[in-house]
Amino acid sequence: MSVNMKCYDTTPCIRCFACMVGCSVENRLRLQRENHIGIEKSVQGRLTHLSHLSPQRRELGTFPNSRQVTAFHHCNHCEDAPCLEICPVDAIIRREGKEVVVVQDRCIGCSSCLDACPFDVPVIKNGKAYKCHGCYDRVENGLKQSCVNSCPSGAMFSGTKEEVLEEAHKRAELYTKKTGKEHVVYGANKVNGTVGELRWITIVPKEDLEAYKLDTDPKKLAMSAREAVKVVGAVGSVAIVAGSIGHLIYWLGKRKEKISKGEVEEK
Amino acid sequence: MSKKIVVYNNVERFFHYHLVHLVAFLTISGLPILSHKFDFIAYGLGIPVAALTNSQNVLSAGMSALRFIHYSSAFLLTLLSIPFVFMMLRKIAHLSMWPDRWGVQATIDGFKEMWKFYIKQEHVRFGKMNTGQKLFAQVVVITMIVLTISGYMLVFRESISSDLATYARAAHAISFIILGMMLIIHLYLAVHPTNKNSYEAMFHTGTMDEEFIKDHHGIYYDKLKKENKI
Repeated sequence: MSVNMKCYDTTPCIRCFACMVGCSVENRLRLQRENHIGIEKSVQGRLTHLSHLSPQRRELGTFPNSRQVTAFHHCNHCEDAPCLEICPVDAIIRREGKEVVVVQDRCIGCSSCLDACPFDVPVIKNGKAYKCHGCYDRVENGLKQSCVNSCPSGAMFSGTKEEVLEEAHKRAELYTKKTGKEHVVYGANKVNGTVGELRWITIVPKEDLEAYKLDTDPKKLAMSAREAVKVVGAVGSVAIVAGSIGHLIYWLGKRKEKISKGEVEEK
Repeated sequence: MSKKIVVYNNVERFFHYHLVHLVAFLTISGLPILSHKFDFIAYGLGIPVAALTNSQNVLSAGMSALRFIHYSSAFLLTLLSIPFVFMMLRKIAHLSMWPDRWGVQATIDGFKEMWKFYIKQEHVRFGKMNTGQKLFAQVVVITMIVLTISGYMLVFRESISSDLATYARAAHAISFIILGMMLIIHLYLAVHPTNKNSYEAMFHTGTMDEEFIKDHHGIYYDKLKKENKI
């Protein structure tokens, strides 16, 4: 199976939030299908941890020159997923389509993924981590992701990496030509050394990257420092053990020499 | 027969004795969270735990048990530290970890004396602790404070912001790595033949011969004399 990719195109988005509703409904249905929860209970609570797509609507500028943008907060299914790397129980895995998925049965709710994720995506609820799983079960059975399936305006589309990138670049080029504003495909290329490429890309005017909260250098300095010190610690510990053994051998030799010369007494 | 001088009192010895195994538990239970290189510890514990709890995931079962050990050991260590910390605070101005002489030159001289003692095997007049031991004690105090604060922040992470919890996790790991490296040196020197008397005093007798102190810890001997403790 080739790499599966999703794209959010900010231009045709009509801010209906059907994608968010679709995501929430699908995840509730999943619980019902797997007999984790009854139908009544699944529709009563807000169960926010099951809404893996949270739109953040903002208004930019001042009236009458104002406009609305909808930034989506979601898992980007990073190529070099820091959550997957840090998980101490291997509860985060990569499926065939490269979706980064939390295996609930293995998760112990230690929050390591939350600390590692530079986009602050995972949510801890009832001792388990929750985040978008890319509807891998639907995709592996030939269906589209729930959010993509719900979108009425074609603002969300998915497919193989090649298909999605081709369409995304074509749209970005068209928008640039029509509006005169440079449009980019965020996440199509390696974003930085922490996350690599993203499997959830966004077509956005370049000047609005910040407005859509699309971080061009996503990383957590504290966690980078932790990783660097781990390397120093490993090298340092080996050097200290080697130095200690070396010192003991040297010290015993020197001691023997001193005893043979009669400078110290043997005890 | 030489007179015996108490160098470590019962509270110090009791604290140190239990500190050894609690730090061992904390280290062993914390390493698999720090790095996948230590997953074998979680697997080792996970096999019996998974069998007992009917769990399908050995690694998760082992890691959950290790978390329980980590939290319990940390809590016990906190309780154990309370009387010790109070005792140390009462005599904070007179603790052995403070330098006998302050300043950069004094520190350099201290390291030269350590070189003479540990490398050239020459006779040196130390205080109760040499410069290396004093530095070690200072690093231990700082890292233990950071480990305690950041550890409790992580336990109660729902009460703090996500960013603060991330900093706490990093601080916890970094201070442990620094402490871990220092502990390797400490363990080596603790069992080194030159420190046999200190080892005996810490783990068995609590005392040292007056003659030994006079000979090896001259500055400390002078201090005891001055304070009329001998």
